[in-house]
Amino acid sequence: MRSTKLKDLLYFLTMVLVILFFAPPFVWLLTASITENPTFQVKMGKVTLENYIYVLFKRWDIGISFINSLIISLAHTALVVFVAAPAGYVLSRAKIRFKDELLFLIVLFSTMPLTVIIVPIYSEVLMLNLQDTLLGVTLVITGLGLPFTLVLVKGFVDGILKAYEEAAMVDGASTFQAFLKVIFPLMKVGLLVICVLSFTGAWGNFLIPLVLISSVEKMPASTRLFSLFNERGYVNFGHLAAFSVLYSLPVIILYYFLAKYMGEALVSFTIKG
Amino acid sequence: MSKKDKNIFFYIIMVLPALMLMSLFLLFPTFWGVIISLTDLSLLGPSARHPKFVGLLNYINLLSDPLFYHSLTLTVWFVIGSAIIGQFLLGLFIAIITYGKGDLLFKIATGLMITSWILPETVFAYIWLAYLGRDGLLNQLLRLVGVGPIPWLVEYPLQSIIVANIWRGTAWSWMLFSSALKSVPKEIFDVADVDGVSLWQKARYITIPLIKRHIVTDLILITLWTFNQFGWVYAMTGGGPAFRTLLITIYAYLRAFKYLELGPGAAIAIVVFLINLFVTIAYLKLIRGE
Amino acid sequence: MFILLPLVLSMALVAPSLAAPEKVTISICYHHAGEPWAKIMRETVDRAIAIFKSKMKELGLDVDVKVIELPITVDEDYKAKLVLDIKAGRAADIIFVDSFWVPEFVEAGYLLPLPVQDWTGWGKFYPAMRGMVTYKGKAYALMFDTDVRLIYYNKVLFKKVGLPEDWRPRSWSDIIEAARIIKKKLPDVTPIQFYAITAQGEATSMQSFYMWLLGALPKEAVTSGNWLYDFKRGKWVIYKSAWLDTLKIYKLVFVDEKLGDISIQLEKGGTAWQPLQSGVRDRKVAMLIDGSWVVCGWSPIGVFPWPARDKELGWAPMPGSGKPDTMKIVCVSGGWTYAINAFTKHPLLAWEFLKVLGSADVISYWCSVSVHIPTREDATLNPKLFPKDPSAVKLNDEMAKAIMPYTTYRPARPEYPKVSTLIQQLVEKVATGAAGPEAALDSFVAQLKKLVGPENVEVLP
Repeated sequence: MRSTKLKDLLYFLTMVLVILFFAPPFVWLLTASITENPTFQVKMGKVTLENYIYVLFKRWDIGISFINSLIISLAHTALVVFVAAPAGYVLSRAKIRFKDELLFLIVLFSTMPLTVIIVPIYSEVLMLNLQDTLLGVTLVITGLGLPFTLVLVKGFVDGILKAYEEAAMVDGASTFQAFLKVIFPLMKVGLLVICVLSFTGAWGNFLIPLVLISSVEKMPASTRLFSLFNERGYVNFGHLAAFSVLYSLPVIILYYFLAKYMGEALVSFTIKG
Repeated sequence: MSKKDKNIFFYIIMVLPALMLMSLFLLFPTFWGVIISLTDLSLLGPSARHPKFVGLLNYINLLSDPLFYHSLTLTVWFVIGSAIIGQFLLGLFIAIITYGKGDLLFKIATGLMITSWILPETVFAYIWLAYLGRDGLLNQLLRLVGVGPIPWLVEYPLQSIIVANIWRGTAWSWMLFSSALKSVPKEIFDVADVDGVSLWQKARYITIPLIKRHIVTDLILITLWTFNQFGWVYAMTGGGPAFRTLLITIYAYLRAFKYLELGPGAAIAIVVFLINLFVTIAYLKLIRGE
Repeated sequence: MFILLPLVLSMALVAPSLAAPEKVTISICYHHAGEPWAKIMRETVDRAIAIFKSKMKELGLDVDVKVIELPITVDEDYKAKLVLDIKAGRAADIIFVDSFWVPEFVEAGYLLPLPVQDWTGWGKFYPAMRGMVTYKGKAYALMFDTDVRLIYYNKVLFKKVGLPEDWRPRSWSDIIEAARIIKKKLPDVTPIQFYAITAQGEATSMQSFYMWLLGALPKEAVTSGNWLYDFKRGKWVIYKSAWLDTLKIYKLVFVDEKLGDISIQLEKGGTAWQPLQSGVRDRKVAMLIDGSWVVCGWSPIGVFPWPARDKELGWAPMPGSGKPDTMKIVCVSGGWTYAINAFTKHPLLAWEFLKVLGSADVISYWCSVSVHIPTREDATLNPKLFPKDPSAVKLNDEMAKAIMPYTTYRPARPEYPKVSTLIQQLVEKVATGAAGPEAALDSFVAQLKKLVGPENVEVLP
């Protein structure tokens, strides 16, 4: 009995402390976005929606940046599904010698520091005439994110019983058909998770577009926000706070919709990891 | 025979695009990086026109470069403080405490935690700039208990980014351990409860050993991720003030893009890569030894 | 083997793009820091383009000029991007280059030498303006604007503490005394500010360190132009006692007596100029050492509009230390230039356009609307061109007349930018109290020797 009371108290205290630790930084974002010309102080002045109106309607370059972000994130997610899913499947199913070593190499490459590879990447992008294009940004983000997504996909596929596939094979279907008809539908959950993670990753990526994009009208929201914070003209934090809130909302909403699937995915990922 | 050939054919088709993208944007740039680190290539000055092959000179120079050791030390402290002590322990603790819970308090607390993790990098950097600012919320709250405004990022920069990183990343470890605990049959925990085992003993002798593999996975992931952090730290502090938050990734960036010395900058980045290699190997050995 | 296949395939996709131009287009690029600066430069460039196009039409040529605006605020980031693009062969034909980058760019092979000997306009540039863009005997750019640096002060605050409204400091002690008086009588006001952090880059060297150092150096060194790099001896020269005197000022102001506020500079980093410049207007900062163009920032269309500026803003030339054999008034000038990308496919057209950019008409226009000092003797500041703030143009003119005769320039050496970075680190160390002047200077000299070679550094008393 005593142990339960202690447990409850501990639980309650922990939750309260978690809230006290995690909540405060968000407060400024909310108050500043509805205040006129705020500083870093959290102060409830006159409530105004002017910041949001300004960001959404009076600044075409901010409005466009959301569209750019959407294009890049969707394109990246689609590319991941069509490029990483099949490749991850092969990684799982194919009987390759030194497979563990190969996986190890792939994971290792995912830790390559951006600073060293960005210059040759930039040169290659220039050679392909993809500089200052959304396509270029998408391709680079996908390329750099492939190791992580490949390992994820492989993990999911491993977790699916081979029995299903062998059953399909006995019926005379080819590997590709087995993949399409049996494995792919089973991977739906895993794919959903990968889609969410890919979308979120691309949505938040500001370094790659910072290097590859120079026209203001092609910048995604992530990079636009970053450059606005650093502008030499006087910075209006109200506008920036409103911009930040609008920019963060899509990924937060996306995540909450699919939260329950993430849990399952994580378990299977780590067990095979 | 023919079926096997067909298999291989399809395998190749399915792998080709991924392989092309990876070779273009990962493989080749990595080789380029290694080669450049062996030269004195710069983007300005005479070494831009006539770069020379200098062998391991850039690496040797790093050995006598005080900034290199400084940034390496800072990064190690950053990883130990925010990942190993912070995110890992906190995530594990919260996961154990919240096992099986689902009430409103739980939803609010974990909702906040997760939001801090999903928040885009740039927004994260700037709300912490506001939070830690001289007139920011933290100082506003501290003033209520009589503690004068402290410019956190100026006087305690390393501690500030460590705490910020704990705030940002704990959710991941928590999610991992929560799922891990959920995959353990509930009966095992119930048995411990019936036997009157104390909370601490239960955690130490039952819970933790059961999810050992997940613990190792989490540690390796957050170590690598934290060691390679760059974007938000650079946005928040620029490596300063006076190089007090000069993480090794930021130092590599400064050498390559502010001082435009691509050769030495690449050498630092390759060193980071090698450290990643070392850590990954250690992890694989640990996993193999299961 | 298997791995090589996709690598080869991807490389095969890299086919050179074949551009088949029908009408000739040359390009010009510059960076800007948001509005209103972008608009001002755009208008100036458009003016030059119009003149150029009609000139070309007379010759029967159909030329277009593409304007590439880079929204990059920080100069060093712009430099990095520019250099990456040049190296990759993708930069514009005409490029905007800070004057002290020129030797570095020339050594890297990025700039085309200009055939100035065939151009009458060249002789109209002030000698110093010609000197700044000449390296190893050849000219590589045209100075678009220049500037001076001085000490601003808020007349209202001065009046409050009994200091003269038309203050003319004659030595460092005049400045320090004024600062001390303000600190005592107005505790909420920061008496004096000048840039002391690495995040402010070249501003810390130019608007801050050199403004003090030049007042401590032997007069001969300054007037001969060999104050940092001795061109006769071919060495970087460190006049130890002058450097120590300067560093001691930083220690006095920022560490010992807190006459200046370093922590707000550190906190704001790259945007530290904001609280400093707005501070003078808002009576939070009493004195500020900064450049002549800041007057534009306080104009009605500037970043910190100051309606009472003409009544409340005071300015004075920066005095020397007051020690024997030092300069009475000090200043160091810089400026931006336009140059020709060495990889241009249209060198002759680029040179024709550059000549228009460097003409008296365009330079007069640019300097009038951006409150800079013209670089040609036949270019004039016209308040009518800046109707929103004609008195700024007049102020600028007054400053130029009072200070230009005393100004000097940075040594045209390719290593200069790196040396300047070391200087900024030195200043930050001392101003943050991380090290004392002697120790910091010793470590700076060691780093300098490592950078340029010990035989190229000479430490003088």
